[in-house]
Amino acid sequence: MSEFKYLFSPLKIGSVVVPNRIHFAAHMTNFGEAQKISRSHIFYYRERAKGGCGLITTEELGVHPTDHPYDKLVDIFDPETIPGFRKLTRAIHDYDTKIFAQLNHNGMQGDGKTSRLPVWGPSAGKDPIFRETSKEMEIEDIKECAAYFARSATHAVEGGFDGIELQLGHSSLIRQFLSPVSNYRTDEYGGSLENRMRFCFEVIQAVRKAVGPDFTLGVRLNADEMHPRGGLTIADTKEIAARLDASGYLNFMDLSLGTFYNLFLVEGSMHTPLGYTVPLSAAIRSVVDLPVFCTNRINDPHLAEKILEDGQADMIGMVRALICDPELPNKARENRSDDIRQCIACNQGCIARMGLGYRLGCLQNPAVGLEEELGIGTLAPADTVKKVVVIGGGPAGLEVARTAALRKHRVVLFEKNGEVGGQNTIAGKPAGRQEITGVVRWLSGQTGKLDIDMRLGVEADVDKILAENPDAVVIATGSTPKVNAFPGNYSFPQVVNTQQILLEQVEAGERVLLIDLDGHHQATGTAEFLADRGKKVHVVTAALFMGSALGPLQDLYLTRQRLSAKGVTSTADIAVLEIQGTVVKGLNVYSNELIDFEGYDTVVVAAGNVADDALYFALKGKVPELYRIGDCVAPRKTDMAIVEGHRVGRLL
Amino acid sequence: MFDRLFEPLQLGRTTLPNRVCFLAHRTNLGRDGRLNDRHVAYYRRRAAGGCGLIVLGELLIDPGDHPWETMIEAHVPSVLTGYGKLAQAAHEYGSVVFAQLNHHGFQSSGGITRQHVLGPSALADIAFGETAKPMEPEDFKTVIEAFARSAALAREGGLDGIEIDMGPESLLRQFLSPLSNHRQDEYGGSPENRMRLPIEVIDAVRAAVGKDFTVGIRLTVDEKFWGAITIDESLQFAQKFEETGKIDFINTSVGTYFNLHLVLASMHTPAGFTVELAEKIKKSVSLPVITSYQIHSPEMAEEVISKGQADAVGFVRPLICDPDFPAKAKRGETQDIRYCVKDNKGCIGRINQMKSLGCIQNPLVGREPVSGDGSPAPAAAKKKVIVVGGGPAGLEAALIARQRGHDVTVYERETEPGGQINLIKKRPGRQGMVEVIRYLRHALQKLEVPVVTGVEATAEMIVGKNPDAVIVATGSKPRTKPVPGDYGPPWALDVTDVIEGRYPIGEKVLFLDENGGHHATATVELLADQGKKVDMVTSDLFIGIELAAMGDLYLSRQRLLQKGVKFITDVLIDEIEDNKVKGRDFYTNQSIVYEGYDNVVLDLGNEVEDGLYRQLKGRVAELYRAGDCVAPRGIDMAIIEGRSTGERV
Repeated sequence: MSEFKYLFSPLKIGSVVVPNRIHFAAHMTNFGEAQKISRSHIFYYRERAKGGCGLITTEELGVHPTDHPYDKLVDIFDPETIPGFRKLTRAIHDYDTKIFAQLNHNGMQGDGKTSRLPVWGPSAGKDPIFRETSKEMEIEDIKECAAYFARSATHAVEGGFDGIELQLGHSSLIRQFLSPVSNYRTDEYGGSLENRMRFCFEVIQAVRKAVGPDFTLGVRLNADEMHPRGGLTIADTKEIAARLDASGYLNFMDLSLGTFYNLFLVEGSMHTPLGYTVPLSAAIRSVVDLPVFCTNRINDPHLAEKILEDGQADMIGMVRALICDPELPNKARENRSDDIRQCIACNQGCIARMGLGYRLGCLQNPAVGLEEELGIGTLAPADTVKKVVVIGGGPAGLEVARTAALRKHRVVLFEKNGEVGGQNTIAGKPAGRQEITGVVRWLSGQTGKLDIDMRLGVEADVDKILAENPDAVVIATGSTPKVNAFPGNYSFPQVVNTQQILLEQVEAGERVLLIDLDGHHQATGTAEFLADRGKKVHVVTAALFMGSALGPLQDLYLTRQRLSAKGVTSTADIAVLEIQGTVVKGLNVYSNELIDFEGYDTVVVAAGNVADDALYFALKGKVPELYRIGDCVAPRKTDMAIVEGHRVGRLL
Repeated sequence: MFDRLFEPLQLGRTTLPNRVCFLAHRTNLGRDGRLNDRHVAYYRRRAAGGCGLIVLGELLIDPGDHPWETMIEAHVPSVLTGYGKLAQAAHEYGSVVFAQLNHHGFQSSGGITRQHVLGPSALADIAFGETAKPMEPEDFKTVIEAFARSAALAREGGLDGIEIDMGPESLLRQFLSPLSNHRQDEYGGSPENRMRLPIEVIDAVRAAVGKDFTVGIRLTVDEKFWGAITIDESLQFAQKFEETGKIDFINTSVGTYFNLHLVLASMHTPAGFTVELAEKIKKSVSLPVITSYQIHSPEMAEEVISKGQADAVGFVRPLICDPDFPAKAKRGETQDIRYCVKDNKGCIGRINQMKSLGCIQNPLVGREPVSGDGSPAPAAAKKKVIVVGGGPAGLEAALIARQRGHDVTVYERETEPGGQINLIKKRPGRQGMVEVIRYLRHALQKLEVPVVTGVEATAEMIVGKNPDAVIVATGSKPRTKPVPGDYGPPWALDVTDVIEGRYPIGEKVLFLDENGGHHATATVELLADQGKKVDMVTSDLFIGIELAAMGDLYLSRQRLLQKGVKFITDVLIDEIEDNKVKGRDFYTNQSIVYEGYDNVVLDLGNEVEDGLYRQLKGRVAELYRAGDCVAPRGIDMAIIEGRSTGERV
């Protein structure tokens, strides 16, 4: 019997019964090929069905040629997509899991760069991300769009889906019609709520007519745009939800929030609270009889269970949580919650990669997008058991130790510090960054359950390693901050690096200048760490703006907001030429103006790391098998440490 | 005409029919690592247009080097089919095809490969930002073998030669340059050591293809950056490479990722700035030398060759824009050439945003026909077509409709056709954009299409003329009320007011920029050139956000800052009232009031001029709309829609 009695109770949604309340909700993957479902898609979704979720909703499927905001969109309006859908739905139906198709037109939240067509919107407007003015839809465009939704719906039925979800959420033409922020029409499609809902109802009616009365159909409604200038609020959406429910056409109501004006709410990082959308779901649920789905930052079965128990939602959407651990549902059902690899909402492997046009990934789960080769059940015991010595207990070392031990190798791990974690521990020091240490919490929990000889507090050297008589050695010794990153005459403790600050090895003076060549959380997190301790911090960066790498993580807005509130200031476009004492000599890279930054008590440098590769080179040629993984190859991010740890764990 | 340009040239074992070289560049047409039919059609069209040499870029030679998705896998035998098709298509027109083999080194990321990137030293590239692994001995072996394997496949596939890339985005340049090579071993330090890997690669490639196959290099002859490769050093490199006896030509390039405004130079970079560097190389070696970048006309190319500055001239953008550039030049029909304006938005701007290659002027780029020259199909029935609006959309629509055999008349309410190009050309550094209209007017004139100017076409007038089809291309104008408040001229002006000089402008100007491109920055530059003190305010993170992809950010910001313009970012405008602009910080929501300015200029977007379209709807047999009057966008979409409308009518 599972400890989660609500989470694992079935739910009837229209004509289908889902076996439990865990919903792998719609999200982008960039797995599409030639506007169709790919083999990667099938293995990716099947992995989540195998892991025990009750319901899957596909990524958005495009209903019309005017909507092509990114290259990999799957075009459900094209009948050529149906065979791929059939393969996908059959693969899911091998498990006790249902699958819905999400139909969407992104409207003005797109551009014509791929379609070479005007983008459609209720009015002429410009989305803040795509920056292209839309064509105000003519009546014939509106009719055509509804007809394409209906045609696409029949393709979903033929493709074997159990239901359809229409996107009225954060990125959708239908929301743009609903919202006074984007709909300025003066005809029967704009103005009053009834008018703004007209297009929505026309689409719903057309789709319902196309799929028949018994097919399961629902919407994903934007519960609150949280727009600074008069978007839809929860009061408005309660009314919309009630009218949609009263129409009798629908079988469920999934929810989202925010728009492209505030993507940090749509794709909330660890800086947003867990379950931050639950009050919206509860409010909508109070006005409709339909089953209500809640999503966003619900990464734990206990939280999910509580939401269900409290009657705040009927289904729990989990996206990143199941990207990170597809087996979360099974582990929860089997009362193995402590084995769940919890999503930390770092957004580095998933959302940032989407924003940069790469295939979906995950900082913690190296199998994402590679389920066919690396998914559940693919880790076979080694043919020959080897003695494997791993040096370094950061994410790379722990992952290789875990993978090798699961394959029955005999593993010894040396870590020079008294505890494992490497730089992951340091990354968790600034305010709001603690969740990042979940990476090592899970890895050390898992390695702790395996038969691994952990030698903590022991600094390995060539002799100690050779004394182990290893069959294979894996070096995962990480990296250290660059010393003397800039020319000049300066020294500790006036000039320090971010690690020395975050590990509190030094107390900074009152006025701090932070040189940011990082653009990521290391720099802005350290600035915030210092500001939280009462320091006056000024940041100089050669980038165009402070936090230049945070945009794709959806961490830019809130970080800049917090830093401003905490008195942190910045100067962009500055290349640091040298440091003399605490005077930093900079050059404006555009104007070529020379600027001295002076009057600071402490200069903190975020200038990147250097590989700690001495042990690797000392061992080269001295052991039968030698590998190097993570930052000691080249200092990068945690995702690569884990990818390389996992890869070598399988190679051994 | 252009006798020297159209003289054959011997490069190793290959004879180029002429000196016009279509050099390696990205198209982003690849899918699944294959050289596909779209590539073949794209290059075939340039061969049909008469270029002597095509250098095929985007080739992936090592699975560990995959900086962007659309590369063609040149290290596996599956590439042979594509090579065969491409070679056949080019040879049919007498053009020669070389494969450019490159390893990007640390100008790359592990985003696709999920592996480390390689470099001479542990440095991060300015664009990719990922620290490299310094190459170990086994990595040298991998890289050298990768070049050799791909070279052998290029030969097997029927291509005519190989160009080894040591240009702006190459591992081999990273080894040559003291900027990126900090090694202490035999691959770093002295010029001999820095040349070691490039020479090992040349040796391996030559060994793989044999003596009777053409192999050359693309060499960065000046990185134009502090502590980097200078022309003096590259003269030595060129001589040493020649001494190997294993290469047949040197194609010269300039710049690095630190100065992309030189590598992907826009109209703001002077024409021919690389020629003297090529000339120095040419004088120090006996191998044929190719020069390129910013050589935009056949006259200039002819001069370079006849003066002995180089043996051949590389063109990329001019042939993207007009594939028939060589053929037209050879016939002496230089007025018929659609010249590249180096706007960079359609080509480089799209590539940097991972879109397929395009061109603001040539709507067929990336959509070339598999056969034929892409001329529009003749119309089934001749129609009387009225085009309203003489901007890019209207003129392109008229041209295509006329080419298809229709009877076409264009009405333009201003005294000069050109639409917003007539505003663009008045901005400093943007004069080159007039070519967009010059070409279209010239082409229409040749086909005797009447362009009636100074006449505002009304619905009654058009209906009275009883046309079979009407194409409305009436463009757009600055938004009349983009923010709340009571404001207007002569204090609050729009960009058109400024460019047309409609009102006197005071010394201190506040410029509200929600455009982020040249529309804003070049208008501000115009004001700064008039001696005004301009403060630019944007809600974006930085001024010029649209310019980065086009390679115009650096020089634009430099000119503005040096002309005293101040940049204010992160500010949302709420209201304009009583000669004050009220806004707030996008992040903190703190309100900010700007006052004390002599004028405010609003660049807050355009709105459609669609009145005529709406009046005509239902009153004429066929009605179309193209360009900004559908939705205000750019010249690229105006011309694409002009063409597609001309094809449909």
